Amino acid sequence: MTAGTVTLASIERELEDIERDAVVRAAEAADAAALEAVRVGVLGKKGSLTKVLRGLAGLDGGERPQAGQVANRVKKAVDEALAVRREAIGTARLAARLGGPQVDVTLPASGQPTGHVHPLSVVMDELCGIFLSLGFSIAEGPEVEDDFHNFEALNIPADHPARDMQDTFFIEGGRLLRTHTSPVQVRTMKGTEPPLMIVAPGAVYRHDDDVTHSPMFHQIEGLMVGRGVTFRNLKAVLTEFLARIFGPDLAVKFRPSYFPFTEPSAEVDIGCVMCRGTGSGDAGADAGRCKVCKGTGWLEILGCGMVHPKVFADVGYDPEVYTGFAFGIGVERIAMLKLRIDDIRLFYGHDMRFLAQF
Amino acid sequence: MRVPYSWLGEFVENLPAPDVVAERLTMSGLEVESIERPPEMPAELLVVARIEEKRPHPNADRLSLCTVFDGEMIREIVCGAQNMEAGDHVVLAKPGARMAGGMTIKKSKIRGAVSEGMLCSSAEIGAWGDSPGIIILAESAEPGAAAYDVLGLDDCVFELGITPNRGDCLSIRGVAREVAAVCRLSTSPMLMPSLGSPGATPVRVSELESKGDSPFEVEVEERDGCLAYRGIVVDGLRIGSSPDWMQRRLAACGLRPINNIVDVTNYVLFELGQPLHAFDTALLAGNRISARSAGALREFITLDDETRELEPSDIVICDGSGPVALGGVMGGASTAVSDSTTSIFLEAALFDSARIRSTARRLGLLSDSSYRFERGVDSAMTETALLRAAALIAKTGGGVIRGGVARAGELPVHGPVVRLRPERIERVLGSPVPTGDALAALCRLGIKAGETGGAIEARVPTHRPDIEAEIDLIEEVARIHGYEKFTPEMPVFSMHAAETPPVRSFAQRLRSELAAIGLSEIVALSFCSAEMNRACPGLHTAEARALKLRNPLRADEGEMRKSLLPGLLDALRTNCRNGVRTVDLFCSGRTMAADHGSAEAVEPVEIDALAALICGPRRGREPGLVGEASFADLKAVLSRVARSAGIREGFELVPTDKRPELHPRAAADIRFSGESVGSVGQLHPLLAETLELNQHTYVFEIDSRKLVAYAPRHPGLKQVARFPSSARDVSFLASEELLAGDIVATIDGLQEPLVEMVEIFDDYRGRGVEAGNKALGITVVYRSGKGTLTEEEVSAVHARVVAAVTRRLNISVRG
Ligand SMILES: [Zn+2]
Repeated sequence: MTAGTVTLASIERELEDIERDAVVRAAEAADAAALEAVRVGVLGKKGSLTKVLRGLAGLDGGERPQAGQVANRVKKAVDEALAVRREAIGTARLAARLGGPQVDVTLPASGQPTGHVHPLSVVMDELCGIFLSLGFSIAEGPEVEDDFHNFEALNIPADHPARDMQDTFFIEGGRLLRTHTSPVQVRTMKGTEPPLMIVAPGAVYRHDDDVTHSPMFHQIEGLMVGRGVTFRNLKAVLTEFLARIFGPDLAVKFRPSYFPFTEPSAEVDIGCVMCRGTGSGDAGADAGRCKVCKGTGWLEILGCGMVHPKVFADVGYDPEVYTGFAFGIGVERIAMLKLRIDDIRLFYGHDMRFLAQF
Repeated sequence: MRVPYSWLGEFVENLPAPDVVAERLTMSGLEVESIERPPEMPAELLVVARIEEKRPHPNADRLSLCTVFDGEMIREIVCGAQNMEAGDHVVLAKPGARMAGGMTIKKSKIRGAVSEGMLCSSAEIGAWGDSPGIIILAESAEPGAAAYDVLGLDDCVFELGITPNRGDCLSIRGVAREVAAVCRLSTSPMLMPSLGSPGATPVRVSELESKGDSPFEVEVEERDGCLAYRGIVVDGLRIGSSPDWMQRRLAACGLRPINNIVDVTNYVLFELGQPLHAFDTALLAGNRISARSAGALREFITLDDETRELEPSDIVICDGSGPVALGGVMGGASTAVSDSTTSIFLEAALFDSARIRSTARRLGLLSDSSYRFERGVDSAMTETALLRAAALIAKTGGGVIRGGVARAGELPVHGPVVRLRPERIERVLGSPVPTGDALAALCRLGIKAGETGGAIEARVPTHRPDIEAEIDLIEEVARIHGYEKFTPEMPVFSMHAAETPPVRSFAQRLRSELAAIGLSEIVALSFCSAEMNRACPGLHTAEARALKLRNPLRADEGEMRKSLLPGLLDALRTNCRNGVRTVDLFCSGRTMAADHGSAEAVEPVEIDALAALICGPRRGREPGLVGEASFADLKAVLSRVARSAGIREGFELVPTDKRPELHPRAAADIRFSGESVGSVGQLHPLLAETLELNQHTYVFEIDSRKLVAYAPRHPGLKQVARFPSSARDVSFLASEELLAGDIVATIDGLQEPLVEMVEIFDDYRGRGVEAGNKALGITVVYRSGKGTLTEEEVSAVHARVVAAVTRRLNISVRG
């Protein structure tokens, strides 16, 4: 192109051709790539419009603004055509992406379904957790015990009727299955100087099998020994413990009882968790009495007492210097009350229909 | 023990209402487990009636028609029993009365005859006695009178749970003493109840005592077993039934009336707590009775006609010819009272608790008598009870007491003197009890106490052998003062770290981890059958013997488990029976065995074990269950366990064919750092078949303690790679016997610095691979810490690696 052929009119014509052509091609562009090719062909460094704009330099100074105006209008029109088409292409593309089949959100999850922790473990961990938070450490001991630790050292001599309180499984050769977790008290005291605060959770065994007893069950034994540990301390610790399990407004009463290795001894009753201490149940059934507490409004929940001086003497603690308290909690009993389980045998029946509820 | 409320009333004046008595007793340590109350029924519905006429039912052979007078009117009653005659006084339930079984009586027609009520048997109204016929009352019972009054069924009966230390409360008099103490009733001196029916003028025991020498001589040869022995003779007796009031009392206490002699000994036993025994004087040889050790005596026939083997330490009562009673436990058959007895020698003795207990336990003879001797009998009551029983027998049997009491041995008159320091009370209980209050509490219990030198001195009475030391008195003071007076007070202690044994926190963590990947926990009883213990030896050594129970509850629970697997397999079976298809379970707990020693010296070893079991189809990416459980599925669980124990790098599985419970071709020893911690594998096909279980059952069992002990410290940070890696795949052809892990181990063993990771991605058998062989696809990842590796560098090292593997393992590269 020579300067002589460049006229305002020819430039204007050329610009209009570019515009017309670009608008048509933009509208026909099938996808984003084709549209980009149109843009580059017109507005790119080597694009047709760019070329024309460069040619404006050959015009007279008076004609240049007018040609410039026309060129700007054309550029705007092309930009607009490109933008309209870009949006149309984008919408169509998104519609295509979103048009797939509906995901069936109700189909089951893949992988193994979640399993279940046994309710006794759940409750045992909760009980131990409460004592840990109160400063008690956890101690353990053997389940196969000897007569000394299970009985003698706990002030239960041979041929003493207190042995009737605990029907015992004997092992051939002289050992026995511990009838309570109390031997852990003795073992811990023999190896540690006071002060000490422990709880001893674990399985225990009684020669007993009916609807309300299992020959194996679980206990948590507690022991606190030091200078100046009192019966009032015992009441405070156990009341706090029970309130944390069953709720803060729980009624608690301590009633005299007998355990050979504690004195004074107490049985602890709590207000019935089922009837809230009223003793009344569903009208009609059981003559309107609460089945859980048999209408008394109270539930026996644990046994406790001040460690007997004979037990201290046996482990080498001076009973004149140290006092302490001990308690024993039936884990099944608490679990049954908390989880409303009415048959102890369910714990050991392995039935998934039961286990899966926890 | 069953305690009739009305009987207590004979010993305690102004007895409060039953509910009050029960509450006070329970709150002072004598637990009232239940109160049996008379049936709630208007008294006029159950009355005494007289049979005016009895005739056969016209339409039924086994029924009769009775015309009765109920005090107001004549009624016609159809009756099925035949044991009554015209003139008998009987119990009539009128229409509207509710029977013990819950049935309500209605006016009705029975086989065409009108019946306006029912004549009652004992069972129908909840009275004592087991005769199937209707009750025939004494003629003194007035027609129209309330039958409950006449039968003594209008009483409350307490069921007391008496702790083993309170032998003194195994009698009505003992419970009455406790009631008086806890109800703050003035302790008036207790009179002997009268010999007649209740309500007659009380008589002092001293007035009963007969004078003179006894026709019998008694002696105690074994003072350690028998502290004192007393006897008295009652002659001229006629055996018959005991009076109604006595039968009612015994029935209320749960005893069956037998005859006037046995009933009196039981009555006095319940009343005063002193066991008694009556010998037929005519059957005793000579007139000398002695209490001694069985010694060389080998056997003895007790009154239930059983031959009992004796131990030298058993206490026996002997006459001139030999043993006539097992002291404090049971009398002998040869001298037992029978219907023809006319004279008795009545015994009241004081036997040693432990000796009686050991004999009674060994022979399985737990009687009301041995039960009381085991728990301590009050020596102050021994002679009183003897005289009272003798007088009652004489009265009810129409006989006379002949001579005085024959005596041997001293009856203790009081127990030890025990000191109680007031400051000690505060030390144990946490707050002081005023000395006056403490003295009053002891006094109410019949313990004579006074203050000397700033301390309380208490003389323990004979009825409280359980009180031996200061702490026993503190308990008495605390419970009479009231436990509720000692308000809770939190202990103060210096701060310290509360600790949990590592195995326990590990188990706790593991439970939630295993539940998260689909396993459910079971808790199994620790008992096991001998067969299952043999089949599943668990983690114990090969020589370890199972611990056998001497007294198992069931034959198939005769041993303690050596493994957790039997419990898991049992749980699997239960759930399969219930139709559960996928059963993934775990269990943690102790297993036990005796590792060394002879049967005499069992040294038990307990292991904290953890076991898991998986069985049944798995859930994949598509809905529904597919396939069967595999070794790899369980290995994933095992990896999770290892991670829980803080073990980051892979553990080692070494194939083993030595586990009897596992498939010899699909089992491995689990090792950490070369130490075996357990085993894993497929359940042995024979065991699966025996237990009727799915063959695709995979199990592992590991020793938690070893696992936790092994848990290594963090190895320290490895440099995070800065340059890209390059991976190469290779497929090796190998015999089926070659373990993929051997290829990985071989490459690891080359110690090529550029090898970063080796991964097995395929184990292929089938088309294109000769039978007995397999193709193992391995990816080796190469990386340098110094720069990006070139193609040539990677190819060079990969060629070295492949060559080394084929050479060392003698396998080839699949083309
Ligand atoms: Zn209730």
